[in-house]
Amino acid sequence: MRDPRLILLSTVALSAAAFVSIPGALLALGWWLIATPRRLPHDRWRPALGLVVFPLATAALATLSGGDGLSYLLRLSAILLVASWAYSERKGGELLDVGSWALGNGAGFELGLVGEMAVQSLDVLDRDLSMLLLALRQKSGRVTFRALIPALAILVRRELDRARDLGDVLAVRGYRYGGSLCPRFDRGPWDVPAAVLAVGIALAALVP
Amino acid sequence: MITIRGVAHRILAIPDLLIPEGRVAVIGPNGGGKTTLLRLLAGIDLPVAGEILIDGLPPRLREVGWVGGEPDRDMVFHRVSDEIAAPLRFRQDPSPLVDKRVEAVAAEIGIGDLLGRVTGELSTGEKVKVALGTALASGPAILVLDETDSSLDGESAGALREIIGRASCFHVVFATQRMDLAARSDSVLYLEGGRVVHSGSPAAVFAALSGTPFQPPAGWSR
Amino acid sequence: MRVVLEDVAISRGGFRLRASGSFGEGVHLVTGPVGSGKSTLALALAGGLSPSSGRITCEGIRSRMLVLPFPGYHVTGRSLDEEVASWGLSPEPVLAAAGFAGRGGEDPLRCSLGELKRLVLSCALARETDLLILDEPYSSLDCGWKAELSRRLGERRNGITILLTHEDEQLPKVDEIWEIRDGGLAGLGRVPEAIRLWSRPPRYIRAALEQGKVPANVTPGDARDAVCGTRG
Repeated sequence: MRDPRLILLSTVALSAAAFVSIPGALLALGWWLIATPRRLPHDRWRPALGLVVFPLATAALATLSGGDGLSYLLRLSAILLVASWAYSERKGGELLDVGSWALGNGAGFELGLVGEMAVQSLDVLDRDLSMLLLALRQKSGRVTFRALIPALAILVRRELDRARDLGDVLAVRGYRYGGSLCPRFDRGPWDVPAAVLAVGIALAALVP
Repeated sequence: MITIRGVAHRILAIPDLLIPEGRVAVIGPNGGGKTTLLRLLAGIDLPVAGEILIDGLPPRLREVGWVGGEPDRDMVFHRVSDEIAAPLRFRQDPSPLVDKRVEAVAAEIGIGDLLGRVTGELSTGEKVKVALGTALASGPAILVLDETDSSLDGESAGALREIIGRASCFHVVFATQRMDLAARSDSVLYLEGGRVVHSGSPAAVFAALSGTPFQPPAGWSR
Repeated sequence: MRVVLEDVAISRGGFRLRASGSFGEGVHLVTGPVGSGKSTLALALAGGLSPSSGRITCEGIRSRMLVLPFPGYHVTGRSLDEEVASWGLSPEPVLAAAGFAGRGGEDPLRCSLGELKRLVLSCALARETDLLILDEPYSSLDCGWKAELSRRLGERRNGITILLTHEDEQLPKVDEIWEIRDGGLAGLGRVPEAIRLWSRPPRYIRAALEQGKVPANVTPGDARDAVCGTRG
């Protein structure tokens, strides 16, 4: 799927369906099997771990506290699978495009801008953290908890400094409020049918 | 003409300075006040005392192009085209004109092939070029660069010099540690301990600095 | 003591670099234009990035240190004294040698980028490391300290020092030259023979080569000596 608006719509619809009932979750899983490239994150261990460990852990907790662990497992797995598909379809700039399309060049652009900056900050934080850990490991041998605290404090300060610098950068670029943007959306041939199917699944699961 | 009168800000103390139009290189040791001065000229900071006027108006009322000391951390948008278009979009220029201007600026700097890319995937040097494109996009009256060349190799620094030379900005103020770039500018400011110790033509300033490491490379000639 | 790269391919965010060769004791200069992959190679040599194919083997190396282009990643202390101590070094002599005499109580984050770089490099060079990898050490330094860094690098007698940089005005005396071109690492061999094979030497070396003179090493002084027929 290429149109980010339809990706967003499908994600919300399928997540709702999966959350509400087991048949909804199964339909969402079915949708994932037929409508997506079925790519699982194999090269980055963190998201892969999240997709497996997190649902198993919550299912175990649910069973232990007397709930239906299997139901949780199924529904949570479906939601996470759909979310990981949506995440893997990111190309950059969608938040800005969708925000401007939905709410115009004022509030919409603002929303998109904040979204883009937030995601950029996460990427920068990720990079900063791995470089910091590398440097720390080299300096101190093992990364002890004691050594980590001041380093993390410095990391937080660095990100705060960056936030302030970004404020300066935006100001010097003439930012006041919003921005003129005519978003252009790409659409694949199966986008609309897949999205319609996702909405259909949501309606089937939500409407009794 | 840039006029600086009675300015005191952090380490900086400049009683009286006139900078003519053209390309000005700001050189000097680390911690000497170069970044502080550049931020004041760009209007990012306001001096605690004194005033700075760029052709009669304070920097915040002028269109300024700025590339900071760590441009790869100043990227706001994911798409390179969005980043370069930002100043134009912020002032609500019509979309088709924005697209045309972005392509023109990218072509001028030689990063036309980067327009479709995502900023997170670029190398540091490529990010610097994108930052430069963003600074030039709005056709600013003054371009302020804080050691932009330190992330660029010799060839790219030469290309940067040409871009600076061709830029239609009236004022280009750049801090640099490359003495060959400083030697080719119109005037040079040497800052040390927050004070403008020498100012004038490259030849005059380098003559005053003979015996120090701040010298144009051997064999250089204008 | 050496680092061996066997048919190594390194990928990082859509970028690929091939490298094969062996870095022995001495000072190695790895050059290449911006974006050619020097930082990626530096990270791989330091063990921070696994190659997608091939192997990087460290023989006889007890300690590795990579100095990153941005010095802030290395700084953990709340004062300059604390920072130097965190490297396992005695603060006073190191701070004095780095030009920070009497400033031991200052907050490192109040220093300018160039000052932080100077501090981190001084600490890294003062510590005995078998494999020292410097990724763009000259960036942010002023002319005076670039010359000082080159002088200190030229004084390193032990271990393997790999210098990855696009600096072209103040290079130190080196033992071997490597070049990254067309997505691959090419070892040009030992200096001075390697200088002749250098496809993109700094301007001052190119000027000497064009006059038919091959400098003995890659510092500006060597180029001057070659052209003027003097001896350093």
